[in-house]
Amino acid sequence: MLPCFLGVHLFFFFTARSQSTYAFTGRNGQIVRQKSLENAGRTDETVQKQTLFTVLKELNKTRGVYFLFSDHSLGSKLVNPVEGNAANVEKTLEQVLKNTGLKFKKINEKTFVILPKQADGSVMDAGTADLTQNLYGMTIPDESANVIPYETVTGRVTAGDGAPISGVSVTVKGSKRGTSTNASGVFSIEANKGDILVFSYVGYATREAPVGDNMQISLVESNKQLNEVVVTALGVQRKSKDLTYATQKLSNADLTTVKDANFVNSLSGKVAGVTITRSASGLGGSARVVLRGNKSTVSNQPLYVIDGIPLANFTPSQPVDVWGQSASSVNAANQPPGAGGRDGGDGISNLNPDDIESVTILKGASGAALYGSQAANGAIVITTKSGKNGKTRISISSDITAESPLYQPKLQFKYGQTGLNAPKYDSTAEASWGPAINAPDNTKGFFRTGLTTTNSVSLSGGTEKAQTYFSYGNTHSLGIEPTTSFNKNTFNFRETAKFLDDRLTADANISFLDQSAKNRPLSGLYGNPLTGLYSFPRGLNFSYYKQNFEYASPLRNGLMTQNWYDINYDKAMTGQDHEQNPYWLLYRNPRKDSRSRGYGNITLKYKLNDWLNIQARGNFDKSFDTYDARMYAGTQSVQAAANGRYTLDKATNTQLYGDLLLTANKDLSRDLNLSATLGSSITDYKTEDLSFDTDPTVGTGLSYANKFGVNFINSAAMISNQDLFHKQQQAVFANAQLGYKNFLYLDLTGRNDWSSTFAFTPTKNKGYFYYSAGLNLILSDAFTLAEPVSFAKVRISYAKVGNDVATFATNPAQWNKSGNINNNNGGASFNTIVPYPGTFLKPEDNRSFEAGTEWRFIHDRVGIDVTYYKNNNYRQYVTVNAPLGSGYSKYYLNLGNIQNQGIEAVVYVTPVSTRQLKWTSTVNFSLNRNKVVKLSDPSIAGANSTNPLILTSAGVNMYQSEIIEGGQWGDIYGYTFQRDTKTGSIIVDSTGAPQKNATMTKVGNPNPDYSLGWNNSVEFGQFSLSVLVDGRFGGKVMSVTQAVLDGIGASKVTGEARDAGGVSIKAINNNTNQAWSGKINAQTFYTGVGGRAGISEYYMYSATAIRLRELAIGYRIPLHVKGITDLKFSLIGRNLFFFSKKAPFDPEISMATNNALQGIETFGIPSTRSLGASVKLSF
Amino acid sequence: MFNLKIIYMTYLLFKRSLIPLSALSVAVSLLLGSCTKKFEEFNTNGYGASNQELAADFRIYGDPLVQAQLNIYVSTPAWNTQLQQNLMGDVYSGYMCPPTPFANNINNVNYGLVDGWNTYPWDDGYNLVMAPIAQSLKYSGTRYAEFYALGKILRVEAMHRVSDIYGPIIYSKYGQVNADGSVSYDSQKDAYYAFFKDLDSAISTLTDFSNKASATLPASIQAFDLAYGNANTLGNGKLEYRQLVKFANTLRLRLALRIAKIDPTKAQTEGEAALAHPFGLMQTPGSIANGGDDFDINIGTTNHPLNTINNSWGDIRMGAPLESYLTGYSDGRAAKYVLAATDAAVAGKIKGIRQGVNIDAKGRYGGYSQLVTFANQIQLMTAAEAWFLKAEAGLRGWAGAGTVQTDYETGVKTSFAQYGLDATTYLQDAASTASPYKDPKAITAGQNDILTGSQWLSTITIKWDAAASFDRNLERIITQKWLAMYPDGQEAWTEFRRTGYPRLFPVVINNSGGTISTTDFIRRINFAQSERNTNPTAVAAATQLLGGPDNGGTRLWWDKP
Repeated sequence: MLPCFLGVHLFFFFTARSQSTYAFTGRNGQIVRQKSLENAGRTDETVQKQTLFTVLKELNKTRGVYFLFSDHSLGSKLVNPVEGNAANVEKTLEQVLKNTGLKFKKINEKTFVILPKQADGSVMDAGTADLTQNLYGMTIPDESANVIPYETVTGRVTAGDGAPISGVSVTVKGSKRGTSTNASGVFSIEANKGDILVFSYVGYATREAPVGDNMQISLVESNKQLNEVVVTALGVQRKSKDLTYATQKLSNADLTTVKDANFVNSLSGKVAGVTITRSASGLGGSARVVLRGNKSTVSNQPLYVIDGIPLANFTPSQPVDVWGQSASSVNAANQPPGAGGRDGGDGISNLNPDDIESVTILKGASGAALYGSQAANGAIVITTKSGKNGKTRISISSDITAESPLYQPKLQFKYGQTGLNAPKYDSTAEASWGPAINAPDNTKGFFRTGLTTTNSVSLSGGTEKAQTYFSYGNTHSLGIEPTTSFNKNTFNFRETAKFLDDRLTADANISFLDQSAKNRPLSGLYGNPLTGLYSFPRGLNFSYYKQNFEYASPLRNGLMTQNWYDINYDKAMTGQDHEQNPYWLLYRNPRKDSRSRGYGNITLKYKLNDWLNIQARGNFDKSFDTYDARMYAGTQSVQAAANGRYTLDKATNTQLYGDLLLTANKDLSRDLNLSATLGSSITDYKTEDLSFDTDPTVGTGLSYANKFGVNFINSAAMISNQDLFHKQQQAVFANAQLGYKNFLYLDLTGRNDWSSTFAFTPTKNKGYFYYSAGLNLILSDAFTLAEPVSFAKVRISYAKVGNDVATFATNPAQWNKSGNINNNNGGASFNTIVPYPGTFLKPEDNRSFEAGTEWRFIHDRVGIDVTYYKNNNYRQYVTVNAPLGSGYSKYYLNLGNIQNQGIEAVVYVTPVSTRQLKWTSTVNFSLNRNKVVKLSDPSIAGANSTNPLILTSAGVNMYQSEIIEGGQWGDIYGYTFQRDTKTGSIIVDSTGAPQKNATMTKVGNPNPDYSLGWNNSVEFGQFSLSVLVDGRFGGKVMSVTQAVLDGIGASKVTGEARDAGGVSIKAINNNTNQAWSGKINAQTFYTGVGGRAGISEYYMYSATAIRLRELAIGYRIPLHVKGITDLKFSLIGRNLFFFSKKAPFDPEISMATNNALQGIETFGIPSTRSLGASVKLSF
Repeated sequence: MFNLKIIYMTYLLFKRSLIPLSALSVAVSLLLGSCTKKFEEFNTNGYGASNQELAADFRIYGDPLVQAQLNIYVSTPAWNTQLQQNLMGDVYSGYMCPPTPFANNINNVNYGLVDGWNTYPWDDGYNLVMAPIAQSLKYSGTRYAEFYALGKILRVEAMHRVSDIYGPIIYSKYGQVNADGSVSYDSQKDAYYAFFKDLDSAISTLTDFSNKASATLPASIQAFDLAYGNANTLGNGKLEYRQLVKFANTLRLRLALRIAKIDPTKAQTEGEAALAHPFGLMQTPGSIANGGDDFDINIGTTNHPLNTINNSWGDIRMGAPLESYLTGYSDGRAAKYVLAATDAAVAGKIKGIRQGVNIDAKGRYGGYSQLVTFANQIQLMTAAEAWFLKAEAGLRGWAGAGTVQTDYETGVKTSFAQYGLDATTYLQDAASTASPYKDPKAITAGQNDILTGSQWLSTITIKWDAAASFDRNLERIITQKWLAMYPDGQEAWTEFRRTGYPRLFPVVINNSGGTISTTDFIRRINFAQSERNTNPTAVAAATQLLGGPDNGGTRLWWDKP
């Protein structure tokens, strides 16, 4: 299967040079040349003189030199045959071209251009690359039939700020003649007076200008470009206009103008169809990204791909319940009680945003089919920066922002502690239902101003043959909660080089990350300083407990133990599990999350011939996570035993990836082009977790007070776990794109996966096959459309993607031994979770359809891109509860059909575009409708249609999240008021206490109905302004914070109700069956509805929120200092304010970023407003 | 096909040298086909265990039984115990009451039954007891009959408690999934009949073993018997079997008396069989380590869950009825059961919380009497109970029960002896009765009090009175049995429902919405939520078997008014 080299290096050279920017003309040009060559061959046999082609071909063979033509017709001219064997090529050429009206020009030792004598040689001044472009265009026979004397037009192309742009393609309108600008932005092209030149460059609006003298062309940036190149599956570059499915691309500027420590958060509002939920853990926390709705019962996160390689987005830990207890990614069960709700961060947040060149979002399964099952939820494809040919460039970027809480819970300080001034016994009451007093706001001054600095420096440079990119980035942040800090260092080194006459390209990248977070804020009730802060009984002295959060305990020989109004060892006051002295928690419960990560990959690409490449890639990604948490002696006894608690968790995550690709790009005929990929890949993913914890219920926990270390955990209290997650996926895949006349494209993909998770099932050997197909018609190329239309296309695609099941699910261990929970004095416990008896687990079946159309008008000043999609996820891998009488507790099986359909639209307008002022505006709109069409199997007990899949179980609290047939993904279930069926009034008892229904019913769904993002950018001279407003509309979220604070009379509403003499609400007394007259006592009402197990319905809020998400005002300082090429200063702001917000918290925040705990807030730290400045400097 | 070795070598290379390049060769080999040979190895969790790995040292038969013993009453985690028993039976028995107003003080304590709680006794019974025992029985079978017999006894001990909570349960049809995916329930009667059958066969197996000549038996269960396993170190191999038989006999008598009202013939047959067994019943107080017969599960280093709930969480305190009896009788066991209150209003006194009262915050009653700190063992049956069972059997005229008075007095003495106390004087007390209950911290003053003359205040005395009526004597026996069984609230609640004794205090607030009568007390717990979700057709059929609506007010089969 060795491809034929044919020896036509001559043309190979052409093609190679052209591919990067001019692939479409390249194809045509090539075809024409091949035909000419055939003709030439025939002529050769009949006449004495040889054609120029024949002669030059021979010279190419024998001397290894290349020739360029300024017009293809020259090639068939008859010339003098080569005589003798002159050592000097130039001499030979002189002889050959004698009296033929032709001349040659030497470009370098190996390259010569053949020109008609009347043409001016100055065409070459712009460099060889330009010449190549130029010569291409001259292969259209009609145009060159009568040779018109051209004149050389020169000029310079700059950006709006005056900086030169290199590589801008310059073509003569109506011909295919073209060139491109050099590093100084200078171009030179042969054209006639009256010709129109077209200037185009990725990221800038195309501009046309009549030929003139010393042309000065200024290009303005645009959001959308006709020929925008996007990176699709496996790193294959495509022009977005060719694609049969929806993508959206963001540039580095979109991510770095206003930075976020986790760059994924910067996608919010900038991409249609993407919903981003942030974790409540603040800086460096994980992000939940959902493209086109929640589809799966297992995971809804998209796949991240970096430079063609899937990224291990390892997330060590997430909170699992309202308490805020957490689970490791490997072992969700068996966590000891009382551990705080910890977000371990995710893998994608490790990237340095400055290293990112661009991000392409493939929203549907079609675009992602080539990545395999993991991309069934869509893919976010990241291209990182690499070195650039030419001058060494150093870029420095430095940001500093200050963060402050965007809101705080509304509290009351007018009413004192319950029983305040009453007999002594009530002094430990947590609630504030006491007498009217005037207490100070103890929450004032708790939060500090956060400070985040982001600094990065990058060096880039190289030669034609090798390019280098190096960067170092640091993010350091002090959170708004005292003692919390975050520090991240990233190193990145990339080298790209060409070998073997540029046939072999090697691209290697090594990066290293070191990250640590101290006291990363927790969510939930346990170990969270905010519970004690907000609920502190009014009237007691907070500043005393702040100054004296610990005291020397005489009973413990002076050991410093916690001091709180209801926690005191010497007074035998044990307090309550859900609130402690905030300062004790901050200073005596230190926690540290750290991660070290090494990432390396290498790509070797070999050009087999002008249309066939082979490429191999390998990737290695390993991260080490350590979580170290220490609870000092004196911590509340539910969380830690008398001597304290030590938790150590070490996780090692390793991903190895390799693939081999054969890519072809060939014109099958004059009208038909094929680009195809054939490949295989292997991914081996392994997580090993080792954890030690101290059981707070056993003895003293640690051997000695505050002696932290695994060896100091009492053996009886030791909880040790070792867990493993390992899977290997192998795949063979093929993709073909057939293009007809550059306006009709058919895209076909097929892939077969083998996943180790199907071991022990019939799927193991055959794997599972899936595919996608798409069709794309560029109307504006196929037909002549009326003038205002500058571009129009319609596209349609369908994909069926398989997905594997959880590790070990097909072969669960028969016996488990986990920590010391339900242990057997050292024995194993019977595992009651099995695949549904008598069946084998099968791959998931995710089918999606999308159709879209894109239109642009008035030279791309106005555009709209609309997509409709529908996705059905069948045969999902689920775990359902078994009837316990069957002998098992849970079955693994395939079930269901979750449907998402919706519309995405991107509208962009450039209302003003002048040399001085440019304003572009983009609106992203998405609407998604989710429906759980089916989630039952009548033949399987536990899988009946009324049986929910529980994402988060309520336990003893008020929030439960479910997927249930007929409902929507993630419906929130909770308690509701008992209501009078006729009037709808709530039912209260004789004291006025609201009565709640015993069973939980649906009280809302947290997912937005639709969302809008409005991005504006204005450039005015040296100034720039960008403003992003986004909103999510619809959906309902729950505030457990509000419920808890209401229940203890700490919230503002409870104070106001007391001021007003009670709560006015329509109610019916269930004793008398009469309407309640007057007001209900505030305490009776709020203790009835509030609390963590209160009436959920009352704590559901509209999730609608519209905010000013990003604002940046920049000024490019017009420096004329030698060396410095660019200096830009900006004022930046993020999350500045809400135009509208209904919930008492930021509804974009959830306790967890996995499938659990969506749409619920439990004492999470407030989201922050950040304001600051950034400086970008390059030289 | 391609070379497997290459893949493996590259894989090793990956692991060792961390060179990304090696991925390339993997990919090269892959292009030619896929290799799934190692998938089984990859997809096996090395940190779990298979049956084969557990075979050595009979662990495959024994470990499941250990798991079952540790979870008849869940020994850890404590929050599970709290929901399995502590917030139900322990409260309904009058022993304990939480100071915590869980779920805004609308919860099981005041009959506002919480679905999320009600499922625990069921789920624990099946996940942690039935499932592992089924595995043990599956493998032991007739090969290791002693394991088989122990498994059956433990199964009865665990599941009769579950049946006494819900009524119909899945027992004889366990593991038999119907065509529609459901698993059918037994009526409570069928379940009890099946219990007797299991006990009968287990008793006969173990009796045979114990009678064998050889003292050392090939596959001793001692390592897996957390109650009597160390009998062998005290006596010989046969002793343990003997102990288990004594326990099984006593359990058989307990269950026989349970159905005495509804099914007197069967009750008497089973009861007399238990009384007639040559090994007899349990009779000496204390756990085996102290030379006693009590069925105490040794939970090793695990803290008794009540200690965690009581001390660490402060979520349980003494119940008002227990205060009333202990103080009224000046019972010496009081100091062994509870601590003096610390709350200023009642400091130094023994003070319990009445069930179902208005509670605004945990602090209100947190300073009432705490429970004592318990040893690391779960008391599931005492020798004292055996004597009281015998006394009741005697009262009912069953053969082999002996003299009622002797049984009764021995019962009291045995209970006192269990705590190192002497009951001689106590037994002579013919005057003391339960004392009135006063709650000085009631939100509405006086609302929670039970005053002298209240119908809820018992007038039963301690001293045996042969002349008293059957009912008075039954009340005396059951009241003393109740005092002896502390802290096992589950069994105490069951006996309260069966007999109406001891007299307990009704709830002040009733949140059942009319399904549970305040004066008739709670009779059962709703079928488990997990069952309604996964086994609805069987639950519907079970509700028919129950013979009344599926709520807390419906009486169980053996519960005749």
